[in-house]
Amino acid sequence: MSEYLLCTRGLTKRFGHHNAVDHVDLHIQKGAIYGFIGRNGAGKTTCLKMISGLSTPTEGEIEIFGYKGRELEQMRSRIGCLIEAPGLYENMTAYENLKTKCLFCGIHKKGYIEDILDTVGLGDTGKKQTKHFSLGMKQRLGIGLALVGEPDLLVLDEPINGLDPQGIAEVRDTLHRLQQERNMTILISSHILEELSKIATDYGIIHDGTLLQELTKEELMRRCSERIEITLDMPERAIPVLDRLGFTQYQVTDKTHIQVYERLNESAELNMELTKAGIPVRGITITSEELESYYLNLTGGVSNV
Amino acid sequence: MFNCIKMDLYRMFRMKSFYVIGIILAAATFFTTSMSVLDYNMMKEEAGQNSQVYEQETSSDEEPVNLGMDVTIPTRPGEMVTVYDQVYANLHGKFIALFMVIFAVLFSASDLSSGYIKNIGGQMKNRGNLILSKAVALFVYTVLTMLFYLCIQTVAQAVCFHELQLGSLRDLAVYSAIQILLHYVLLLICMAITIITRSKVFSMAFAVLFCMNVMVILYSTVDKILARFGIEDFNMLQYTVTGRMALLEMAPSAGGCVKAVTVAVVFGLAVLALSSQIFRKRDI
Repeated sequence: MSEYLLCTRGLTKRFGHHNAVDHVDLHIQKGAIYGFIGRNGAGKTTCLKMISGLSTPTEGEIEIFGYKGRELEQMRSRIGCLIEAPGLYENMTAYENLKTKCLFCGIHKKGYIEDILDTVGLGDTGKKQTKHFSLGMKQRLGIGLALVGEPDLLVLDEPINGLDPQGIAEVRDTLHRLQQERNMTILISSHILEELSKIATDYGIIHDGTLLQELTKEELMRRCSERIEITLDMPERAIPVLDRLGFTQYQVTDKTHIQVYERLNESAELNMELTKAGIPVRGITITSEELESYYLNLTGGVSNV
Repeated sequence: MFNCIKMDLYRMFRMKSFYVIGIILAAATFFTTSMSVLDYNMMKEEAGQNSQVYEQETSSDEEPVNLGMDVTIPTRPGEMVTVYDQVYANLHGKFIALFMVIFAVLFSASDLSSGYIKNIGGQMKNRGNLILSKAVALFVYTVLTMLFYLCIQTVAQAVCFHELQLGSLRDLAVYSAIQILLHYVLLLICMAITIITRSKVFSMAFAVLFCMNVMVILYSTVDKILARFGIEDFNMLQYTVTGRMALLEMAPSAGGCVKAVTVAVVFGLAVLALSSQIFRKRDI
């Protein structure tokens, strides 16, 4: 059995000759809040639809809770989803919308619907039809619908889209609470990296249907944090020097760069020691990167973000 | 599956159109019954003047099915208009079917157009079962609407004619039961069109055209094409649900009942299999 609650292998969705999702390998651990980042049209929704069972993959495999293929069909009820805009019956109240889903799930517990309404902060909506709800209320009801049946995996597609800052904060708090109180695994997509960074514990970055990178929050923060960036020809020769000087948080990023994440005020001494050891240093700078620019650099530009 | 049916029944009874269409149906029934009083009085006067001509005109058992909606009571001069006459006129003319198909399209499209299907579509082991559950809900709707109509028609008859004659109860029961089945299958066809086309407008237009006998043009074209190939006496109308609704006699013979039930069962099973299969395989 896989160590991950959800993993995909070579997940592909083709529309005609266009690969909307191209061999995506996702790895999501139990209890994680996985931020799925990508531009509009990157393939996030298509990916989430396949995971939620709303769409069939052209190729590849999805494994959830250790089940795949036909066995997974039996487990789909453990997945709650909110894909694109919340699907609501507009002439019904929030209670009636939830009741409809409860009937579908075979849930008749007294007070269950009221509890979900309270969880998503809609406990006081009474007989108000959902057509009179604000966008934020609709999004929260959409999350409420996804919560019916106590799912182990919650799949949310751009749940903060179109919300005002207060609405975003409310949704964020709700998700935090769910993850902490119920140890729920949440897969949440967005193209707003800044917002996802406040909530997600792991990230997957998708671009043009291809998964570019998977990384943890710590890795992302490290990549975006202030650091000493050393440019040199043979980085492997610098490692013994760094070790001798007591540096432990560093990374050889490519054939000509080393990034050091600690003791940023000792860059001059470090330069001197490397030169003393006969290692020609081409450049040594202290740099940092905004989350947004990290993402933009990775996906190759600012258009259509 | 049982949970799905409960869900569909719940949302059916929560739909505003369920009640609005019911109210309009009741009002229309009262209206047509009051119109029948005028027709009946006029017919009595005309028949008194020239009863022989009327006998000749109405002697044919096999009535032609014309374009448009034709709601004419089959009562002969000198006879009292019965509830069964009115029921026959309205069911045979697809007047009640018109209201029912409108609801069928609205009901079938509501979870697709609202996007609610996305909340549940992925959680079904077999998504095709969602179609079967809709079919069960539509069956409940058909039976309830027919019973409601029969009650309203009886009341309207008593109010408009100031006299209540039910007609042959046995024939009324047999005729109504078979028409319920045919109406139900017509709703299933409309549901299938809605699911396959995913267009409320297109399927609504199709449903109304069914009730207005517009498909007769297509059927007669097929008949003519087949006649060119040597199949002279083929009448496609006999093998269609709307055709059977129109052709079912007032005193249904065993043969007529068997033909109607056969057509209904074949069409019902075919559209259910087709729509559930398409819905199961198609992405939401």
